[in-house]
Amino acid sequence: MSHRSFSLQDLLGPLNEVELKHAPKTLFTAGDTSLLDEGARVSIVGSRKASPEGIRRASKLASALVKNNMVVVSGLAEGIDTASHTSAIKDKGRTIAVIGTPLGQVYPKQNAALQELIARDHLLISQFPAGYPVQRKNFPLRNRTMALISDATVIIEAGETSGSLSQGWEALRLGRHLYITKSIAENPSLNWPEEMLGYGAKILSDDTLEEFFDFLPLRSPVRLNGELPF
Amino acid sequence: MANFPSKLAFASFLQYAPRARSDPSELSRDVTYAVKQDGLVGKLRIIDFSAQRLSEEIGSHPFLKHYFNESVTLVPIPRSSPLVKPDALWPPLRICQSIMARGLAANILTCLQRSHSVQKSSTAPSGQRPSPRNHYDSVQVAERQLLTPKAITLVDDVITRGSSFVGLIPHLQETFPSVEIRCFALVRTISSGDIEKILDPIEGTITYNGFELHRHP
Repeated sequence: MSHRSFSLQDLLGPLNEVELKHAPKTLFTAGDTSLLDEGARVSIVGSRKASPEGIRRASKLASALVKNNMVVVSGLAEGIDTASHTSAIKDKGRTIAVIGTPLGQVYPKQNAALQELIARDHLLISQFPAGYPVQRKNFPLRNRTMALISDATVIIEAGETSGSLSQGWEALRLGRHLYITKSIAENPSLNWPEEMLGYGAKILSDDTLEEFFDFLPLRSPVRLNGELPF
Repeated sequence: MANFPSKLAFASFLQYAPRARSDPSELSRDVTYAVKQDGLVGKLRIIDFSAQRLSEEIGSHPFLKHYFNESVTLVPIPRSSPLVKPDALWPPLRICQSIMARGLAANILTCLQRSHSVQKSSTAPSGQRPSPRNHYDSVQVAERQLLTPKAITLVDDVITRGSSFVGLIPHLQETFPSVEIRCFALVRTISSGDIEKILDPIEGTITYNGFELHRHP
């Protein structure tokens, strides 16, 4: 697996001031960086200890994204993340894993084969250089970076202390689309969904799925073909 | 008691067809997404590029000189939700800053602030779009204004029906009773059909009968 390093601006283009605030200076990649050039990138995130219904929703959404020529982004953790990546791969789509360890390390161990597959055939990204210690604080930092890389974030299910919430708040700060599933929005035991809805998050359900796709970029380099857009 | 205008002039610079499939229509979707994110199309930061194009085109479209000149104060429309943090992205403010940087305005006044969320018009089903009253009630004038502008241009990123303009003009009229106020949206939504080009500066009207809004063109 060959690793490369890029400044974030080399990888994504010039960033605005809001994006620069929490952006890592360097990203380390393995795999196909052209996945960043074409199609909307949508993060699917949520609990490591996900419910069967959460796993089903994540897989279904990943399939729908693939059908719409979009790139599935997630964090290669247990639960929702694993379901999202594997569903995208099974449907012959494209997926990006943004991990909280250096590229040469694996967490959790049971995702070693999946990480290797993504590094080979898709795109694996880390902001942590080789040898960087794997600490709990890496993961919310990784989630901020995932929010930055993604055009939209969907939280499938998450408790009050889930790391996915740090991605949700960062997505709102960046002005990115943030969606939460209807089932968690209506869960009376959770406070965070109502708080995020008050700051502009939207509810994703079968009724709003079409609208969700309509307002994401198509990002086809062929369409612009090197010319100015207007 | 808010006095909502029944007829209002507005200008816009670009057009956007959200669901059409011609190449310009599909590109307009990426352009509009980039405006709303202060993002890129290709390697171009699209708000700055739009402001540059505006400064180049203003001589060919004289009505734009009423909206942008050295006497005008730009007022960005608040986002549809309160800012999650003070440094959060506010696209209409970024548009104002980029226009201002090209010498097309005297200053920027961030006097309108959203106190609670309203649904985004661009993503709301037609029956659930916020009314002018919803916009009026969810926005406050930030503080006592010491500066009295000579003229105001209220600036939004994307116009759908014009509800936010109609809803927020009364706040400005109450705060600055004798000041002329104009409305500008960088992008206007074309709800049906294809477009042939993205850049299409126009001056149009929004009418409001107390129940329905109509934007032309």
